[in-house]
Amino acid sequence: MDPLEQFKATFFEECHEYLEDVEQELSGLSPETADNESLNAIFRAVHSIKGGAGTFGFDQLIEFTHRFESVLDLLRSHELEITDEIVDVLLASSDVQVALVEAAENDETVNEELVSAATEMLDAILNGDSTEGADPGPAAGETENIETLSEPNATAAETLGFKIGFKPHPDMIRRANEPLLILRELASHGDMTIEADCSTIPALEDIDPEGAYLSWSISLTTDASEDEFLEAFEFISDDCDFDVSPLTDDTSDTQAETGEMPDIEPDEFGFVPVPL
Amino acid sequence: MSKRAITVDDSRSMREMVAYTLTEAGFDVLQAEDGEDALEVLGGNEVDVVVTDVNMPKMDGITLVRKLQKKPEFKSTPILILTTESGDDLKQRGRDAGATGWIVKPFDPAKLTSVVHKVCP
Repeated sequence: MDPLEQFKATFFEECHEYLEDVEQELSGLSPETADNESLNAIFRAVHSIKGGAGTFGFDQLIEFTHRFESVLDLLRSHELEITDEIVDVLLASSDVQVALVEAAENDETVNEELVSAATEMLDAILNGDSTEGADPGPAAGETENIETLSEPNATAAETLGFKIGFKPHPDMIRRANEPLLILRELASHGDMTIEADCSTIPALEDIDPEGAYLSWSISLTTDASEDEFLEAFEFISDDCDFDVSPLTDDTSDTQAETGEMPDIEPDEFGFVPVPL
Repeated sequence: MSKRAITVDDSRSMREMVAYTLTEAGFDVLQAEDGEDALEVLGGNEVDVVVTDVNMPKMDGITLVRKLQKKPEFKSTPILILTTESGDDLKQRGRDAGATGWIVKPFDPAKLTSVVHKVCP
């Protein structure tokens, strides 16, 4: 059994609470009385239903809730101003939302016509504002969880791995991202050798303890695709310089020569000690 | 001694799932239902990693990150924002506020565990 199954009951309990909140807020909603607090409250309730629905894989619920949430997002950010017509759409959508939650909870089917009708109305609103970038975002079944979308990188199959240059900026370290953990993460994908460039380390009295003075040249022999190991950089790509190129037979031989410190063995992670 | 985490989310079920996942990963887990609550809980407790939702009443996740960054005791604590919103705008706001990283829902326990271990071994 999926270990998260035990939380489904809590999720549905919460859904019912959220849906009551939504109904209550909607009942008093009109173009004249709509305020940011109400709009945000409705958005958050629907947003939370979507989050849980995604976790448990209720596809139809996810798909509809996502559209509903997108319209609410436009309203709360005032990219779209509320009208009587839009209030009607929200009311209809709330009813469909209730039906979909109950269907998911009881493993039943819903009235598809009702769902389609509300979906069309929401889409009409979203498409009407699409020029402002009101993109509904990923459709049902697609997620932005990077690892679930990773596709085999065709070029990786033709190479031994990758050569990577990695130079953290000080901001990376200030955000509590530890470079050694990144290197460790890379090492987990295959065999790695590393050369550290210590040439920019200043004298001790000039060192900023939050500075970043090291960079690394890395050879990674791996079957992993570029997308898979680039996950290690997904948080920090704007906070470091890194470049990736294929590792071929020619380049791997060159990388085996460390040059500067031929007598020093890399440690288990391929680190060459920093000279003091 | 176990590492400690805090999960901040206005959804009870989401908090419980994050707490369960992180407990399985070896953490002692504190919970808070919004940013204000989190600051109160963290006022008396140290943690090794913060996992926070973005959209919450009273104080949202981005504001929480900003406030934590101003406290010396949390400056080097990894903070992960956990959210269904995946637009570049939100990622940028998270980064600007000082978040260490982000995870997009739907919530995948294996992904959360791997990311938390990445920033907090």
